[in-house]
Amino acid sequence: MNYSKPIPEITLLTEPFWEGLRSKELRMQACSQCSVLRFIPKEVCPDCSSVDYVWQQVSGLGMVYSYTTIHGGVGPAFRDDLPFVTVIVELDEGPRVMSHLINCLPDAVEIGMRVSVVFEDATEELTLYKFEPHDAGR
Amino acid sequence: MSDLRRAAIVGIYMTEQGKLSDRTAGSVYAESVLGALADAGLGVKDIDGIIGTGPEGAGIAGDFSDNFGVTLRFQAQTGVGASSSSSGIGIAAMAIERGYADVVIIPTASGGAIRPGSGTGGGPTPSSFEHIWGSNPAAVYAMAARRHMYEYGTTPAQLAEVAVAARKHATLNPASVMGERGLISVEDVLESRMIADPLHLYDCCLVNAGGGAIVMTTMERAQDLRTTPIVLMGWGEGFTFHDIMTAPSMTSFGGVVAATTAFAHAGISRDDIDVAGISDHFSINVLIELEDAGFCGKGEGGDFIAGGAIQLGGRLPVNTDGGFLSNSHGGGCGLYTVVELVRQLRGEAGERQVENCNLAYAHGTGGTFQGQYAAIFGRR
Ligand SMILES: [Zn+2]
Repeated sequence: MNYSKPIPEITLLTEPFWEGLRSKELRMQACSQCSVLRFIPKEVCPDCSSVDYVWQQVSGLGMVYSYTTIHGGVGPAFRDDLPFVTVIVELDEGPRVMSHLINCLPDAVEIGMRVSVVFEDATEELTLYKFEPHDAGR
Repeated sequence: MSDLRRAAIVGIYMTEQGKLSDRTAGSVYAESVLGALADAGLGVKDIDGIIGTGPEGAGIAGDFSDNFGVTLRFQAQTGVGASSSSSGIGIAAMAIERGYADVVIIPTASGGAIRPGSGTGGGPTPSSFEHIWGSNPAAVYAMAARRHMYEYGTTPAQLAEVAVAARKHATLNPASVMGERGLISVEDVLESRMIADPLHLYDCCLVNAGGGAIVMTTMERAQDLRTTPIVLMGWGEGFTFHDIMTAPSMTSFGGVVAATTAFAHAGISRDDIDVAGISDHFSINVLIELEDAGFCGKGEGGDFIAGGAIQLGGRLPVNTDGGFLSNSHGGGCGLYTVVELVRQLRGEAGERQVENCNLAYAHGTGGTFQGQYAAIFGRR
């Protein structure tokens, strides 16, 4: 597959996240001590400072916390996509996730809108997570 | 600490700001250092400390020694993006007041081929979880603006007032990049090309090159120098997140604790401030920091800036040099904010001079709201 956009740096810490995506699962770290979920991956729980955690699948459901329709000022890899909608989604489980909103006209986006995760294979090794309106064509 | 040991800014300088396509960053840097020293009436041999940001490693201690043939006994580096240089003012003051250094230079420079962020000496870099989406500072600031509109009813027209004020001030600053282009209106901002909704082109800072420097020393030494010393009366910093996804709020950041600390340190109130300089990477930046710094209540920034309140003659003139929106956004441009406040306090701001200017507030942000400092300066 030909994927010309930036690919993530996958580290020992973040590998389980990307591995989950290949199985069409959105996974977050859950603190072993206080159960709070966190994203982006970190070694320490920001709520209780515990360094113990497990990877846990989340629903992929959430709401638009904020968004912007990008019209310009991006690198060549994203120019063909203009305009596109970058969102920060607040998952029902709590953590916030930046991504792109797809299958939605820019004018139709609003804060609070229900969205769900969509998995997109970028390459044979890399699956990405995007979001779409929760009621989109299902 | 005796008052004689108190740290003050005694030298300021800015090079030409603009494309500078025929200048190396190193030459801009050298001009900045020598210019600020000349302003103070000091020589390179007087320097014994540096806060490094500078171009491609220049500005770090050893490089300064290579260039100017001096031995340094104090250095520090700060990595908060565009505010890296000026965020060293607090460290410089501590070093001077403790006697670890007597004369500290804080330079910044960029030149030649310009890319956004060049010459800032590094800063918060987005993680893969932002990078893969093509996210950039405009996108993050736009999402902060959108969230502010949602939470508080702020409007694009209110944001535009920031850009209108900056341009008005730039027209009074002959050295500014955009002053020659003349005034702009709220409508001009709203009709300019959309970059990242709701931020239009005129809501976004310039991309240019340039340099400048600040020299600080003790009040005792300042008595023998040619300029009016400007004392650092209060200092505070604030950090609440690195990645925008983990930020506790998208409409309030480390500026709250930075300003609270600085005002407590200085022992003055917001109402005492005569002029302010607030990082304006994007228009929303100023609105959020005015709120976080306590010049108005949270969510009241839009109303606060309406009707020319942050223009010269208004209740709190902000970014009287034109700011990053219309003066310059070259290198560690947070330094230029401080340079302008020093000019105002010295009474050297020409056509844009604020009358009876005794106390000034600087608020620097770097990255996308991560690095924040607040500084209060006064004339003694
Ligand atoms: Zn925990």
